[in-house]
Amino acid sequence: MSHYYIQVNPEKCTACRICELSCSFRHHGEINPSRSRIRVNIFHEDFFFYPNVCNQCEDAWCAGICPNYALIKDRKSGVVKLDESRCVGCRMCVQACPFGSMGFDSRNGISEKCNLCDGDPECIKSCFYHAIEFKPVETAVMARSHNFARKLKSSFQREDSHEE
Amino acid sequence: MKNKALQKKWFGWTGRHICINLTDSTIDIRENDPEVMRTFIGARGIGIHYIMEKVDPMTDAFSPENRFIFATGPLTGFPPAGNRCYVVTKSPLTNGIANSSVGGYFGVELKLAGYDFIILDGKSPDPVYLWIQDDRIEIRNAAHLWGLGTEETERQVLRETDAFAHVAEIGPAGENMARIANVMTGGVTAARAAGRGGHGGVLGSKNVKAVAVRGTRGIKVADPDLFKKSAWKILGYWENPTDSCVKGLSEHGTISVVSWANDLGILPTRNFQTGVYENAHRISGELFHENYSVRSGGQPGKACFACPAGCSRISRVEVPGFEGASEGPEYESVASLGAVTGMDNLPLVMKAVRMCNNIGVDTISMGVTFGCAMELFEKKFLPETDAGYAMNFGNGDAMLELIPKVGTRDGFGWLLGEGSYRLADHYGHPELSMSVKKLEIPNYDPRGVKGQALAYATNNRGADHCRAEVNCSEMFECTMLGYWTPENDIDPVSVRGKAAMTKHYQDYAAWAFDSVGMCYFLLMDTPEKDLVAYVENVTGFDFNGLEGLMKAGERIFTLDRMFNLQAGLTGKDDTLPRRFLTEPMPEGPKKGQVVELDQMLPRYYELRGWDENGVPTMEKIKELGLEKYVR
Repeated sequence: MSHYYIQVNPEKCTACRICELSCSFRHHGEINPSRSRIRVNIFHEDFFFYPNVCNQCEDAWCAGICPNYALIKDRKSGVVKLDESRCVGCRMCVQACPFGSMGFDSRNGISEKCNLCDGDPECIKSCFYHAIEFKPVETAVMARSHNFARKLKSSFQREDSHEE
Repeated sequence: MKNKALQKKWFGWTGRHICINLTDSTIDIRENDPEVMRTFIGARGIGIHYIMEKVDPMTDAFSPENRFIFATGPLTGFPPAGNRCYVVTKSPLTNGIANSSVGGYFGVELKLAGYDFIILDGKSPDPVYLWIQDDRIEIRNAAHLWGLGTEETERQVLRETDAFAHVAEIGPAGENMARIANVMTGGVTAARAAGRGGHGGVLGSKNVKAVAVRGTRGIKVADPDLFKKSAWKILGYWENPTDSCVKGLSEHGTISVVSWANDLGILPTRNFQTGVYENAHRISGELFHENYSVRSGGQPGKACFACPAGCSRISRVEVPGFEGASEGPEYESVASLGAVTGMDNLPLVMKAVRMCNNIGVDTISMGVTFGCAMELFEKKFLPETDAGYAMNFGNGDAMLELIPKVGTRDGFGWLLGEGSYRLADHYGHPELSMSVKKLEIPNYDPRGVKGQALAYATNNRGADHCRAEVNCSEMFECTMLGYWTPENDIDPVSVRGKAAMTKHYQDYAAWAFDSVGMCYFLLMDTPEKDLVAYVENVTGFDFNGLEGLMKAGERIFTLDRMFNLQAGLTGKDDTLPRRFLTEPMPEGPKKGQVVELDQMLPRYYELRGWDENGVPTMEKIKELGLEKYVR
């Protein structure tokens, strides 16, 4: 079956951070962006806003480094699952993740990561501009490819770009 | 008592606040008083309570005896658009109460650090900034920041503290105690302002350059299930709005109002001499979107915390001489620095807005003060030798050169920084200052929106559209508070029913937006009862429903009024500049209109329970439980 993943469209993000508060409310019962598993990176001066969230890698760095098998890729759901009872809080997964998507919950002393809310991510439901979308990965690949081609098309169709 | 259990656990509110005495650098973290929170809710309400508690209303606004309060509400941090932080102090501009609201992320970060509000007393001997990181609070040296613009200040403070902190700061105008200086926040493109009433000058008088906050604690809710229900219900009104301005805000930003206001004949032009601007299309939202908006096609730019609308545009100008990028500009800024001053060049106006933000002055007051100077000049009351420029309407070069001088208070910049009333008074013509209680009038000509006119005349912080945005119902046919419906059309130029309408808006705004901490833009389509449920579900407090909260609104409004009266203002200040009362609108859709204030004000006083001089009766004061504030 095809895997769903969270596609990020930074050009649509307004940095409202409702995804952060929905996430922290769902998983911790409080409004607290610092405990959210999705984090909006705000580059004020460049007007660039990027929600960063786990990519659920097929062969994940975090799972590879975990000495206690607390992180396992679940083939069925596509989620890299954190087994909280096995996590010893060594933070090596935080170190290993090249995307900075692995979190750490200081209050409980264990790692903290996105689990796609059992297939119905809270953040997606609260994003009003589709800056984050939950899609089968194949569909997402096609959509991105098509978007790029559309940009290319417009530059081809500009009059001044015609070859003499 | 009913809410006793809550003394141990707080929901919505964090339950604590910070008291800082700048004179001797003492920092206290205190528990909130539940009874005070229930009575005054938060933000503006809490602000006036703690001002009244300590500040002698007759005190000089710039003296160390004045207080400065940053306050959030119980719903600051909550969707949709709970992001407001209020700054409350005695105004150096009006000498009455000043409260101003700002969005962005600062207020939310303060709550995440675990505090509902900050009270600043005294005066620091040297320039300082505050650094609040959860339980750690420091007063830091700010000598190296003194003199910097707001953008650079924010950049530096973020470098010295935490890249994820949020900062509120003043610019040179605040440091040099301009009476129209503001407090800025919102990223290094510093585009969010707590603008109106001269708060920046008060912070400057206390030698406080900035406040930086970083918080990692959470905000809890009393009833998680009901909270979710309430939040999604209100978000639903936003997703499926009636034909109101809310959706328009998201698609076009406030700058689109330029054309609407002009079409309605109430776009203040050349110091409010007319409501029709022949060059409106040269400073319009349409022009902006075509040429200077970074995101196109009705895409929102940047949102404040938890706001689904994202009304702020993001702009980039590459026109030589006016280059720059920022959030905004907003309608009020463009109209004040564009139409009121007779400018016809949008890139120039946008540059003026950015400059105002960077030196930290209120764009409305600045624009209207320039408009005043220009009319004084054209009527030959202001000599060119004083201004240093031929201050004709439309002289953009003079405006751009003078704005930095308002920050440094050089030459004519000194007078401009005093605001339009003191400027016009200096030249013997105070009637040419378009202000109420010395606060400059925002950009809806009152002759075309009579309810708004009454609100300008009676709002406690002076001419002001936010503490009662009556014009929303009058001009935008917005359903706000149910006043406008297709069946119940409201005639903007009629005075009928406007006293009751204005009072209702004022009392509703006082609790619903100003004290709860929500942005009023997002609540335009929300029925009152849903907001009541939201506040009660989040806080777990019983406010006695809508009736209780409307009473709280009236209480807050009346207490603001009592402060003003004790500060020496009187019912005579509840008026408008002569222009609006006696000079009929010369042209356009509102041609011939004047404001019949005398037909509205007595009825308004009566509805308020005030005597014919605008003084609240003892009976009313007792009804609202405000006896202890009588001096």
